[in-house]
Amino acid sequence: MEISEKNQKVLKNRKILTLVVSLSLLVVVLFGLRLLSDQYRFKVYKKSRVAMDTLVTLTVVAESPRAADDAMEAGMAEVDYLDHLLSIFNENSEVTLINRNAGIKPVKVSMDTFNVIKRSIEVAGDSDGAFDPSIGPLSTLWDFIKAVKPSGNVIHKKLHLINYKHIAMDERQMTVMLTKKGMSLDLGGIAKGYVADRVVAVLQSKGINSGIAAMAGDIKTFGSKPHTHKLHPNGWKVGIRDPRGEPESLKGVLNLQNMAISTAGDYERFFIENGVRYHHILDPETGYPAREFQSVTIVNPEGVLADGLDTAIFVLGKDKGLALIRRMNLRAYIVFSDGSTYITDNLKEFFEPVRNTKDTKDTKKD
Amino acid sequence: MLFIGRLVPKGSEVTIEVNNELLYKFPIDKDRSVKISHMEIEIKDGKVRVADADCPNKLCVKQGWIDRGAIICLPNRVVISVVNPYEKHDRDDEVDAISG
Repeated sequence: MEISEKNQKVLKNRKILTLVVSLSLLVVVLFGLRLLSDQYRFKVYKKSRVAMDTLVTLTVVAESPRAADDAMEAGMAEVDYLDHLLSIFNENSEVTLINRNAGIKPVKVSMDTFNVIKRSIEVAGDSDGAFDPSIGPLSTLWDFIKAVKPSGNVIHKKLHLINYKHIAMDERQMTVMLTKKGMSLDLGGIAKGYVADRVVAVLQSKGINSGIAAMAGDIKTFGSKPHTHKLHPNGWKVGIRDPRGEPESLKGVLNLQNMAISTAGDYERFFIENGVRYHHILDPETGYPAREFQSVTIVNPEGVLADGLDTAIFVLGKDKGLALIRRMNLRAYIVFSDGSTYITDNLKEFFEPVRNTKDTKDTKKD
Repeated sequence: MLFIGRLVPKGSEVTIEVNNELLYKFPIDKDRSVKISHMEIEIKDGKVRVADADCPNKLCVKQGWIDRGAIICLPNRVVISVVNPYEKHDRDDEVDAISG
Protein backbone atom coordinates (compact mmCIF):
# COMPACT_ATOMS: atom_id res chain seq x y z
CA MET A 1 0.00 0.00 0.00
CA GLU A 2 2.63 2.48 1.12
CA ILE A 3 4.79 1.81 -1.92
CA SER A 4 1.94 2.29 -4.33
CA GLU A 5 1.02 5.60 -2.64
CA LYS A 6 4.59 6.72 -3.02
CA ASN A 7 4.51 5.69 -6.67
CA GLN A 8 1.37 7.65 -7.21
CA LYS A 9 2.96 10.71 -5.66
CA VAL A 10 5.98 10.35 -7.95
CA LEU A 11 3.67 9.92 -10.93
CA LYS A 12 1.72 13.02 -9.94
CA ASN A 13 4.94 15.01 -9.60
CA ARG A 14 6.04 13.78 -12.99
CA LYS A 15 2.77 14.87 -14.54
CA ILE A 16 3.15 18.32 -13.04
CA LEU A 17 6.73 18.45 -14.26
CA THR A 18 5.68 17.41 -17.78
CA LEU A 19 2.95 20.02 -17.75
CA VAL A 20 5.35 22.74 -16.62
CA VAL A 21 7.92 21.76 -19.23
CA SER A 22 5.40 21.63 -22.08
CA LEU A 23 3.84 24.92 -20.99
CA SER A 24 7.20 26.62 -20.96
CA LEU A 25 7.99 25.09 -24.34
CA LEU A 26 4.72 26.49 -25.65
CA VAL A 27 5.62 29.92 -24.28
CA VAL A 28 9.01 29.73 -25.96
CA VAL A 29 7.45 28.66 -29.28
CA LEU A 30 4.78 31.38 -29.11
CA PHE A 31 7.38 33.97 -28.24
CA GLY A 32 9.49 32.79 -31.14
CA LEU A 33 6.54 33.02 -33.51
CA ARG A 34 5.85 36.51 -32.24
CA LEU A 35 9.42 37.53 -32.87
CA LEU A 36 9.18 36.09 -36.37
CA SER A 37 5.91 37.85 -37.12
CA ASP A 38 7.36 41.09 -35.71
CA GLN A 39 10.20 40.72 -38.08
CA TYR A 40 7.79 40.59 -40.99
CA ARG A 41 5.44 43.28 -39.75
CA PHE A 42 8.15 45.80 -38.92
CA LYS A 43 9.49 47.69 -41.92
CA VAL A 44 12.01 50.40 -42.58
CA TYR A 45 10.60 53.84 -43.41
CA LYS A 46 12.49 56.92 -44.55
CA LYS A 47 11.76 60.60 -44.90
CA SER A 48 13.98 63.47 -46.13
CA ARG A 49 13.59 67.19 -45.82
CA VAL A 50 15.68 70.30 -46.29
CA ALA A 51 16.21 71.79 -42.82
CA MET A 52 19.10 73.37 -40.87
CA ASP A 53 20.58 74.36 -44.24
CA THR A 54 21.13 70.71 -45.05
CA LEU A 55 19.29 67.55 -46.02
CA VAL A 56 17.80 65.85 -42.97
CA THR A 57 16.89 62.18 -43.42
CA LEU A 58 15.10 60.16 -40.78
CA THR A 59 14.91 56.36 -40.93
CA VAL A 60 12.68 54.39 -38.59
CA VAL A 61 11.70 50.76 -38.12
CA ALA A 62 7.97 50.75 -37.40
CA GLU A 63 5.02 48.38 -37.50
CA SER A 64 2.84 50.60 -39.67
CA PRO A 65 3.28 53.51 -42.08
CA ARG A 66 1.24 55.60 -39.70
CA ALA A 67 3.39 54.89 -36.66
CA ALA A 68 6.45 55.68 -38.79
CA ASP A 69 4.98 58.92 -40.05
CA ASP A 70 3.89 60.13 -36.60
CA ALA A 71 7.36 59.57 -35.20
CA MET A 72 9.18 61.08 -38.19
CA GLU A 73 6.97 64.18 -38.13
CA ALA A 74 7.75 64.64 -34.42
CA GLY A 75 11.46 64.17 -35.23
CA MET A 76 11.36 66.78 -37.99
CA ALA A 77 9.54 69.19 -35.68
CA GLU A 78 12.39 68.78 -33.16
CA VAL A 79 14.91 69.65 -35.90
CA ASP A 80 12.99 72.82 -36.73
CA TYR A 81 12.65 73.73 -33.05
CA LEU A 82 16.37 73.35 -32.35
CA ASP A 83 17.34 75.13 -35.57
CA HIS A 84 15.15 78.00 -34.44
CA LEU A 85 17.16 78.19 -31.18
CA LEU A 86 20.67 77.63 -32.52
CA SER A 87 20.96 79.07 -36.02
CA ILE A 88 23.08 82.17 -36.53
CA PHE A 89 21.19 82.79 -39.78
CA ASN A 90 17.96 83.25 -37.89
CA GLU A 91 17.64 86.79 -36.54
CA ASN A 92 15.45 85.67 -33.66
CA SER A 93 17.37 82.63 -32.50
CA GLU A 94 18.66 82.47 -28.94
CA VAL A 95 22.22 82.25 -30.24
CA THR A 96 21.71 85.42 -32.29
CA LEU A 97 20.38 87.08 -29.14
CA ILE A 98 23.50 86.04 -27.20
CA ASN A 99 25.68 87.42 -30.03
CA ARG A 100 23.81 90.69 -30.14
CA ASN A 101 24.37 91.15 -26.41
CA ALA A 102 28.09 90.39 -26.49
CA GLY A 103 29.88 92.64 -24.01
CA ILE A 104 26.51 93.99 -22.87
CA LYS A 105 24.55 91.52 -20.73
CA PRO A 106 23.78 87.84 -20.01
CA VAL A 107 20.93 86.29 -21.99
CA LYS A 108 18.50 83.80 -20.51
CA VAL A 109 18.21 80.74 -22.76
CA SER A 110 16.31 77.46 -22.97
CA MET A 111 17.83 74.22 -21.75
CA ASP A 112 18.82 72.96 -25.19
CA THR A 113 20.73 76.11 -26.08
CA PHE A 114 22.44 76.06 -22.68
CA ASN A 115 23.38 72.39 -23.10
CA VAL A 116 24.86 72.71 -26.61
CA ILE A 117 26.97 75.68 -25.55
CA LYS A 118 28.10 73.87 -22.40
CA ARG A 119 29.08 70.77 -24.39
CA SER A 120 30.83 72.87 -27.03
CA ILE A 121 32.95 74.51 -24.31
CA GLU A 122 33.88 71.02 -23.05
CA VAL A 123 35.08 70.04 -26.53
CA ALA A 124 36.95 73.34 -26.80
CA GLY A 125 38.68 72.56 -23.49
CA ASP A 126 39.52 68.99 -24.55
CA SER A 127 41.09 70.25 -27.78
CA ASP A 128 42.81 73.28 -26.28
CA GLY A 129 40.68 75.61 -28.41
CA ALA A 130 41.19 73.86 -31.77
CA PHE A 131 37.42 73.62 -31.78
CA ASP A 132 35.97 76.89 -30.54
CA PRO A 133 32.25 77.76 -30.48
CA SER A 134 33.14 81.46 -30.40
CA ILE A 135 34.56 81.28 -33.94
CA GLY A 136 31.72 83.50 -35.24
CA PRO A 137 33.79 86.65 -35.98
CA LEU A 138 36.06 84.55 -38.25
CA SER A 139 33.57 82.14 -39.85
CA THR A 140 31.28 84.95 -40.95
CA LEU A 141 34.16 86.62 -42.85
CA TRP A 142 34.39 83.68 -45.25
CA ASP A 143 31.69 82.72 -47.75
CA PHE A 144 32.35 79.35 -49.34
CA ILE A 145 29.36 79.44 -51.67
CA LYS A 146 30.22 82.84 -53.12
CA ALA A 147 33.98 82.10 -52.92
CA VAL A 148 34.76 85.05 -50.67
CA LYS A 149 38.26 84.99 -49.14
CA PRO A 150 38.87 87.78 -46.62
CA SER A 151 42.17 89.62 -46.62
CA GLY A 152 44.89 88.58 -44.18
CA ASN A 153 44.63 91.91 -42.43
CA VAL A 154 40.89 91.59 -41.80
CA ILE A 155 41.34 88.02 -40.55
CA HIS A 156 44.13 89.06 -38.20
CA LYS A 157 42.00 91.76 -36.58
CA LYS A 158 39.31 89.23 -35.62
CA LEU A 159 41.44 86.46 -34.15
CA HIS A 160 41.72 87.95 -30.64
CA LEU A 161 37.92 87.78 -30.31
CA ILE A 162 37.89 83.98 -30.56
CA ASN A 163 38.23 82.47 -27.10
CA TYR A 164 35.78 80.06 -25.51
CA LYS A 165 37.10 81.06 -22.08
CA HIS A 166 35.25 84.34 -22.49
CA ILE A 167 31.87 82.65 -22.64
CA ALA A 168 30.28 83.08 -19.20
CA MET A 169 27.63 80.55 -18.24
CA ASP A 170 25.39 80.68 -15.19
CA GLU A 171 23.79 77.30 -14.62
CA ARG A 172 21.39 78.52 -11.95
CA GLN A 173 20.10 81.47 -13.96
CA MET A 174 20.41 79.54 -17.26
CA THR A 175 22.15 82.50 -18.84
CA VAL A 176 24.98 82.84 -21.33
CA MET A 177 27.10 85.89 -21.90
CA LEU A 178 29.96 86.69 -24.26
CA THR A 179 32.11 88.92 -22.13
CA LYS A 180 33.88 90.85 -24.91
CA LYS A 181 32.18 93.14 -27.37
CA GLY A 182 32.48 91.85 -30.95
CA MET A 183 32.52 88.18 -29.88
CA SER A 184 30.00 85.83 -31.47
CA LEU A 185 29.05 82.17 -31.30
CA ASP A 186 28.81 79.90 -34.32
CA LEU A 187 27.66 76.43 -33.30
CA GLY A 188 27.79 75.08 -36.87
CA GLY A 189 30.58 72.67 -35.88
CA ILE A 190 28.58 70.89 -33.18
CA ALA A 191 24.85 71.70 -33.41
CA LYS A 192 23.94 69.01 -35.95
CA GLY A 193 25.41 66.27 -33.78
CA TYR A 194 23.42 67.55 -30.81
CA VAL A 195 20.26 67.72 -32.92
CA ALA A 196 20.80 64.11 -34.05
CA ASP A 197 20.97 63.06 -30.36
CA ARG A 198 17.78 64.95 -29.55
CA VAL A 199 15.88 63.64 -32.59
CA VAL A 200 16.73 60.06 -31.62
CA ALA A 201 15.35 60.75 -28.12
CA VAL A 202 12.13 62.07 -29.68
CA LEU A 203 11.78 59.06 -32.00
CA GLN A 204 12.30 56.74 -29.02
CA SER A 205 9.68 58.62 -27.00
CA LYS A 206 7.29 57.89 -29.88
CA GLY A 207 7.86 54.16 -29.40
CA ILE A 208 10.44 53.65 -32.16
CA ASN A 209 13.15 51.18 -31.13
CA SER A 210 15.50 51.49 -34.05
CA GLY A 211 16.41 53.89 -36.80
CA ILE A 212 18.72 56.68 -37.90
CA ALA A 213 18.69 60.46 -37.56
CA ALA A 214 20.95 61.96 -40.24
CA MET A 215 21.60 65.69 -40.39
CA ALA A 216 23.41 65.22 -43.72
CA GLY A 217 26.70 63.63 -42.56
CA ASP A 218 26.11 63.99 -38.83
CA ILE A 219 24.37 60.75 -38.06
CA LYS A 220 23.08 58.90 -35.03
CA THR A 221 21.92 55.28 -35.21
CA PHE A 222 19.88 53.44 -32.60
CA GLY A 223 18.66 49.86 -32.27
CA SER A 224 19.20 47.32 -35.01
CA LYS A 225 18.24 46.89 -38.63
CA PRO A 226 15.77 44.14 -39.51
CA HIS A 227 16.62 41.38 -42.04
CA THR A 228 20.32 41.93 -42.11
CA HIS A 229 22.78 39.50 -43.52
CA LYS A 230 24.45 37.03 -41.17
CA LEU A 231 27.83 38.59 -41.86
CA HIS A 232 26.66 42.00 -40.74
CA PRO A 233 24.65 41.23 -37.65
CA ASN A 234 22.02 43.81 -36.92
CA GLY A 235 23.96 46.97 -37.53
CA TRP A 236 23.01 49.97 -39.61
CA LYS A 237 25.41 50.45 -42.48
CA VAL A 238 26.86 53.91 -42.69
CA GLY A 239 29.25 54.77 -45.51
CA ILE A 240 32.22 57.12 -45.20
CA ARG A 241 32.57 59.34 -48.26
CA ASP A 242 35.65 59.28 -50.42
CA PRO A 243 36.88 62.90 -50.12
CA ARG A 244 38.10 63.09 -53.71
CA GLY A 245 35.60 60.73 -55.37
CA GLU A 246 32.12 61.18 -56.80
CA PRO A 247 29.49 62.16 -54.21
CA GLU A 248 28.41 58.52 -53.93
CA SER A 249 31.78 56.82 -53.81
CA LEU A 250 32.82 55.54 -50.42
CA LYS A 251 36.01 54.75 -48.54
CA GLY A 252 34.32 52.17 -46.39
CA VAL A 253 31.18 51.11 -44.58
CA LEU A 254 30.70 50.98 -40.82
CA ASN A 255 28.30 48.64 -39.16
CA LEU A 256 26.83 50.65 -36.30
CA GLN A 257 24.41 50.12 -33.45
CA ASN A 258 23.60 52.86 -30.96
CA MET A 259 26.50 54.89 -32.25
CA ALA A 260 26.76 58.36 -33.73
CA ILE A 261 29.14 59.22 -36.53
CA SER A 262 30.33 62.55 -37.88
CA THR A 263 32.77 63.48 -40.60
CA ALA A 264 34.57 66.78 -41.03
CA GLY A 265 35.69 67.03 -44.66
CA ASP A 266 37.44 69.66 -46.76
CA TYR A 267 35.07 68.87 -49.67
CA GLU A 268 31.77 69.84 -48.05
CA ARG A 269 31.95 73.60 -48.46
CA PHE A 270 34.92 74.94 -50.37
CA PHE A 271 36.17 76.91 -53.32
CA ILE A 272 39.43 76.70 -55.23
CA GLU A 273 41.41 79.85 -55.98
CA ASN A 274 44.75 79.76 -57.85
CA GLY A 275 44.88 76.02 -57.29
CA VAL A 276 44.43 76.30 -53.51
CA ARG A 277 41.46 74.71 -51.81
CA TYR A 278 39.76 76.96 -49.27
CA HIS A 279 37.28 75.00 -47.13
CA HIS A 280 35.08 75.69 -44.14
CA ILE A 281 37.09 74.01 -41.36
CA LEU A 282 38.94 77.03 -40.04
CA ASP A 283 41.80 77.05 -37.56
CA PRO A 284 40.93 79.64 -34.86
CA GLU A 285 44.64 80.27 -34.35
CA THR A 286 45.55 81.19 -37.94
CA GLY A 287 42.15 82.14 -39.34
CA TYR A 288 42.72 79.90 -42.38
CA PRO A 289 41.47 76.43 -43.35
CA ALA A 290 43.29 73.56 -41.60
CA ARG A 291 45.52 71.65 -44.03
CA GLU A 292 46.61 68.24 -42.80
CA PHE A 293 43.53 66.12 -43.51
CA GLN A 294 40.97 65.54 -46.24
CA SER A 295 38.51 64.12 -43.74
CA VAL A 296 38.19 63.06 -40.12
CA THR A 297 35.41 60.68 -39.08
CA ILE A 298 34.59 60.11 -35.42
CA VAL A 299 32.31 57.38 -34.05
CA ASN A 300 30.95 57.95 -30.55
CA PRO A 301 27.82 57.06 -28.56
CA GLU A 302 27.01 60.78 -28.43
CA GLY A 303 26.43 62.74 -31.63
CA VAL A 304 27.34 66.01 -29.97
CA LEU A 305 30.84 64.68 -29.18
CA ALA A 306 31.34 63.02 -32.58
CA ASP A 307 30.41 66.28 -34.30
CA GLY A 308 32.51 68.59 -32.14
CA LEU A 309 35.55 66.32 -32.01
CA ASP A 310 35.80 65.65 -35.77
CA THR A 311 36.31 69.38 -36.29
CA ALA A 312 38.68 69.63 -33.31
CA ILE A 313 40.91 66.84 -34.63
CA PHE A 314 40.79 68.16 -38.18
CA VAL A 315 42.08 71.51 -36.92
CA LEU A 316 44.69 69.99 -34.58
CA GLY A 317 46.33 68.21 -37.51
CA LYS A 318 48.30 65.01 -37.67
CA ASP A 319 50.47 65.03 -34.53
CA LYS A 320 48.23 66.74 -32.01
CA GLY A 321 45.04 65.27 -33.54
CA LEU A 322 46.22 61.68 -33.30
CA ALA A 323 47.48 62.37 -29.77
CA LEU A 324 44.01 63.57 -28.76
CA ILE A 325 42.45 60.47 -30.35
CA ARG A 326 44.76 58.28 -28.25
CA ARG A 327 44.25 60.29 -25.07
CA MET A 328 40.43 60.15 -25.31
CA ASN A 329 40.46 56.61 -26.75
CA LEU A 330 38.29 57.79 -29.65
CA ARG A 331 37.12 55.67 -32.60
CA ALA A 332 38.36 57.42 -35.72
CA TYR A 333 38.83 57.01 -39.46
CA ILE A 334 41.10 59.53 -41.12
CA VAL A 335 42.03 60.46 -44.68
CA PHE A 336 45.29 62.46 -44.70
CA SER A 337 45.92 65.25 -47.19
CA ASP A 338 48.02 62.88 -49.37
CA GLY A 339 45.06 60.46 -49.58
CA SER A 340 46.47 57.81 -47.24
CA THR A 341 44.16 56.52 -44.52
CA TYR A 342 44.28 55.53 -40.88
CA ILE A 343 41.78 53.69 -38.70
CA THR A 344 41.97 53.23 -34.93
CA ASP A 345 42.09 49.64 -33.66
CA ASN A 346 38.84 50.05 -31.72
CA LEU A 347 36.94 50.85 -34.95
CA LYS A 348 38.35 48.07 -37.13
CA GLU A 349 35.78 45.43 -36.15
CA PHE A 350 32.96 47.68 -37.41
CA PHE A 351 34.66 48.69 -40.66
CA GLU A 352 34.70 47.23 -44.13
CA PRO A 353 36.59 48.93 -46.95
CA VAL A 354 34.64 49.49 -50.15
CA ARG A 355 35.52 48.94 -53.74
CA ASN A 356 33.23 50.69 -56.14
CA THR A 357 32.22 48.98 -59.37
CA LYS A 358 34.34 51.44 -61.32
CA ASP A 359 37.47 50.43 -59.42
CA THR A 360 36.64 46.76 -59.94
CA LYS A 361 36.53 47.27 -63.69
CA ASP A 362 39.87 49.04 -63.58
CA THR A 363 41.39 46.17 -61.63
CA LYS A 364 40.14 43.66 -64.20
CA LYS A 365 41.82 45.60 -66.97
CA ASP A 366 45.19 45.34 -65.27
CA MET B 1 36.38 43.61 -48.79
CA LEU B 2 32.89 44.78 -49.54
CA PHE B 3 31.66 45.44 -53.04
CA ILE B 4 29.03 48.07 -53.47
CA GLY B 5 28.13 48.53 -57.07
CA ARG B 6 25.16 50.66 -56.29
CA LEU B 7 24.31 52.44 -53.12
CA VAL B 8 20.66 52.81 -53.90
CA PRO B 9 18.56 50.93 -56.44
CA LYS B 10 17.72 52.48 -59.79
CA GLY B 11 14.51 54.45 -59.65
CA SER B 12 11.60 54.75 -62.04
CA GLU B 13 10.17 58.12 -61.05
CA VAL B 14 11.68 61.60 -60.86
CA THR B 15 10.37 63.84 -58.11
CA ILE B 16 11.19 67.53 -57.90
CA GLU B 17 10.74 69.19 -54.52
CA VAL B 18 11.18 72.86 -53.74
CA ASN B 19 11.03 74.06 -50.14
CA ASN B 20 9.99 70.55 -49.12
CA GLU B 21 6.89 70.75 -51.33
CA LEU B 22 6.48 68.23 -54.11
CA LEU B 23 6.34 70.22 -57.35
CA TYR B 24 6.54 67.53 -60.04
CA LYS B 25 6.52 63.77 -60.39
CA PHE B 26 7.57 62.35 -63.78
CA PRO B 27 8.24 58.85 -65.10
CA ILE B 28 11.97 58.63 -65.84
CA ASP B 29 11.50 56.77 -69.13
CA LYS B 30 9.80 59.69 -70.89
CA ASP B 31 12.13 62.42 -72.18
CA ARG B 32 11.27 65.99 -71.25
CA SER B 33 12.75 69.15 -69.83
CA VAL B 34 11.22 71.41 -67.22
CA LYS B 35 12.08 74.88 -65.99
CA ILE B 36 11.66 75.77 -62.33
CA SER B 37 12.94 78.86 -60.57
CA HIS B 38 16.76 78.96 -60.61
CA MET B 39 17.23 75.90 -62.80
CA GLU B 40 16.42 73.83 -65.86
CA ILE B 41 15.99 70.10 -65.42
CA GLU B 42 16.28 67.53 -68.20
CA ILE B 43 15.07 63.93 -68.30
CA LYS B 44 16.50 61.78 -71.10
CA ASP B 45 17.15 58.08 -71.75
CA GLY B 46 16.13 57.07 -68.24
CA LYS B 47 18.35 59.65 -66.54
CA VAL B 48 17.92 63.11 -65.10
CA ARG B 49 20.25 66.11 -64.76
CA VAL B 50 20.26 69.80 -64.03
CA ALA B 51 21.02 71.28 -67.45
CA ASP B 52 21.50 74.82 -66.21
CA ALA B 53 21.30 76.81 -62.99
CA ASP B 54 21.70 80.47 -62.10
CA CYS B 55 23.82 79.90 -58.97
CA PRO B 56 27.56 80.77 -58.83
CA ASN B 57 29.19 77.37 -58.31
CA LYS B 58 26.66 75.14 -60.17
CA LEU B 59 27.38 72.03 -58.11
CA CYS B 60 24.04 70.62 -59.22
CA VAL B 61 24.99 70.96 -62.90
CA LYS B 62 28.41 69.42 -62.26
CA GLN B 63 26.79 66.34 -60.74
CA GLY B 64 25.64 65.39 -64.26
CA TRP B 65 23.21 62.61 -65.15
CA ILE B 66 21.81 60.35 -62.43
CA ASP B 67 19.50 57.34 -62.57
CA ARG B 68 19.31 56.82 -58.80
CA GLY B 69 19.80 58.86 -55.66
CA ALA B 70 19.31 62.62 -55.68
CA ILE B 71 20.61 65.98 -56.80
CA ILE B 72 20.33 68.46 -53.97
CA CYS B 73 20.64 72.22 -54.21
CA LEU B 74 20.73 73.57 -50.68
CA PRO B 75 20.85 77.32 -51.43
CA ASN B 76 17.63 77.08 -53.45
CA ARG B 77 16.19 74.22 -51.38
CA VAL B 78 15.64 72.03 -54.44
CA VAL B 79 15.75 68.23 -54.18
CA ILE B 80 15.53 66.19 -57.39
CA SER B 81 15.22 62.51 -56.51
CA VAL B 82 15.01 59.39 -58.60
CA VAL B 83 12.74 57.13 -56.60
CA ASN B 84 11.15 53.76 -56.90
CA PRO B 85 7.59 53.90 -55.54
CA TYR B 86 7.87 50.28 -54.43
CA GLU B 87 11.31 50.68 -52.98
CA LYS B 88 12.19 48.69 -49.90
CA HIS B 89 14.74 50.07 -47.48
CA ASP B 90 15.92 46.80 -46.02
CA ARG B 91 18.11 45.45 -48.78
CA ASP B 92 21.47 44.11 -47.76
CA ASP B 93 23.61 45.54 -50.53
CA GLU B 94 22.79 49.15 -49.72
CA VAL B 95 24.10 51.53 -47.16
CA ASP B 96 21.58 53.17 -44.85
CA ALA B 97 23.31 56.54 -44.58
CA ILE B 98 26.49 58.31 -45.65
CA SER B 99 28.73 60.41 -43.41
CA GLY B 100 30.82 63.13 -44.96
